[in-house]
Amino acid sequence: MGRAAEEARTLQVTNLNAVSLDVHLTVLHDFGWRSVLVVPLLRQARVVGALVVRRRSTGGFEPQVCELLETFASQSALAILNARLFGELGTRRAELEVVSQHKSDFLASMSHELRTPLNAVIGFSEVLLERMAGELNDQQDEYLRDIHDAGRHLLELLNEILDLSKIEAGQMELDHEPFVVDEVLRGGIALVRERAARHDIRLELSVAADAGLLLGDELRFRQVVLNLLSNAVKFTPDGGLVTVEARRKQGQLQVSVTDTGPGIAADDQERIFESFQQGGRGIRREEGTGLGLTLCRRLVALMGGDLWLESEAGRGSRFSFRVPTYDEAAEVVRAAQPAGDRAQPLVALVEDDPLAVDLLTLHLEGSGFEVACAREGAAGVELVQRLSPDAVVLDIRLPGLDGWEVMSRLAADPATSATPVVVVSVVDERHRGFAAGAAAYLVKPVSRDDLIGALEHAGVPAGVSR
Amino acid sequence: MTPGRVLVVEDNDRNRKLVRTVLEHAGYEVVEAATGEQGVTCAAQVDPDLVLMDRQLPGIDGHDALSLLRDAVATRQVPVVAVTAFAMKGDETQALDEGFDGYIRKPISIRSLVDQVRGFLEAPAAGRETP
Repeated sequence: MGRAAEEARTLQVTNLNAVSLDVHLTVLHDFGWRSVLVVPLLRQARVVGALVVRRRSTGGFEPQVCELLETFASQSALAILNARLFGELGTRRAELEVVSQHKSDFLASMSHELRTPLNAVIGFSEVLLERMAGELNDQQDEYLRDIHDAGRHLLELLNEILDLSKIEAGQMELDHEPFVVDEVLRGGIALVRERAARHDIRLELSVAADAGLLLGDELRFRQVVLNLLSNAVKFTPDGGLVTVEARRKQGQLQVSVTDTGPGIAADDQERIFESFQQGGRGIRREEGTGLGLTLCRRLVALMGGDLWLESEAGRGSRFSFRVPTYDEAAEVVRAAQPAGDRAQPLVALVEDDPLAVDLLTLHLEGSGFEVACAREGAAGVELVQRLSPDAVVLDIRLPGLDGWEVMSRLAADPATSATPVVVVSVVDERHRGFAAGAAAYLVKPVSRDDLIGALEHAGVPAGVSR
Repeated sequence: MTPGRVLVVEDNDRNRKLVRTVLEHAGYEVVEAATGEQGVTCAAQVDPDLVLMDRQLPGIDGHDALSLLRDAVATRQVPVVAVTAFAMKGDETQALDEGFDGYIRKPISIRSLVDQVRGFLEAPAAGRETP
């Protein structure tokens, strides 16, 4: 066997009685074996094992048998090596995971340790800037501002490092709460307005009427928007324009921030998403952290969306991201089954304001109702007739037929006259509402408790909360 | 007559000095403690109107110190506000769950610190962050 390995070739002993026996062969002979074939398992001249075939009778092994065993041996060698490599890879990966976890822990505690002295740097420069220790001359004021701004910059960098390390460690948890897209975008613009004004940069916001509410992490959404916005302002020359747009598109909300800056050359367009790369973006009136875009892209990915760039050198840049919204159409389809088969009570919501639709839908679904929605009066009547819902939540000011007309048509149809109607309106005309047959009348803004309470009062208790 | 006496429990000397500087400038009387133990002893002696408590302290941490303050008759009623590092997500709600009367985020903005302290002194039991 040793010789077969040494010579890296197949060897056979046709008669153990006729050869001088070494230790191994003696053992085989004593156990009654009379011939033996050894096929080494070779991989690139390395022996990883051997196939041994023994027979009780003497005689040579047939060439086909040897050939077959050699083929089998080479395949086995490959399989053994692969198995070893997989094993090593597994160990390596486990080691890497430990290293990565250590790195994240290290970064987290490091940024905490750095934050403490930074707190003093920023705080005491604010104390001086606030003239708490007396008047300052212009130069002192300017230098203090430099210290303060550098401190804030460092703090921002720390926060981003911490965020990134949390994402990498899988410890970044996102909220899942409704928020108003328009408000967040306005808030973001307000935060860069002063800086934009200093450079005579115009800010424009265009939010589609259907942008509505988003379910998600408002803070992180704001962080992404603000990052893109402040980049845009940073890289746009004096007198330029920064535009923010938001609209729904195929079940997703798309937000774009467009600037009239120098643009980004095609070669740099992917690179700028990597850490500490800023691309050849010409003027750079303020230093960035070099982590912002990396972080934005990772955050948007966590939200289930993506972030991309369209730009041409010399013609400005547009950074866009889209995140999934819950699909209203699917809700209607899901609800559109006969009354008897419904696991949850169904509410027909007749409301034209997309924000109110989103909010009321969230309230209702959160309390275990199915929701079917119509955006105008005639469609609302049709929806109620078609689905026979357990209750109707009705707005008064609607395009086409108004709420009053909807109520009178529902009351006139024996199939729908018994369906309770909860009016939700900005106008307080309770008396007229009750006279028209409303089971309850709520004035906007309506809380979840108000709404669910009114439905319960109307004899439609909430379903099982999800 | 000062607008109030504030006990600042914070282990970092400079940051404690910063809070003291800002609050004293606004007219508050400030008492300092560098550890949770000191904070608890000090609170019993000086009868503060408000305690600002760092959550991460050497020795007994902010949460333990809070329990000790709540256990003692002399300090049971004093509003205790957690000073938390912004870095820790969920820290704020956790602070309220633990029984702090509110929280102030680090890094402390000196412009809003005084407003926050005033808010907590005016509505000690509100249990909410003043914006």
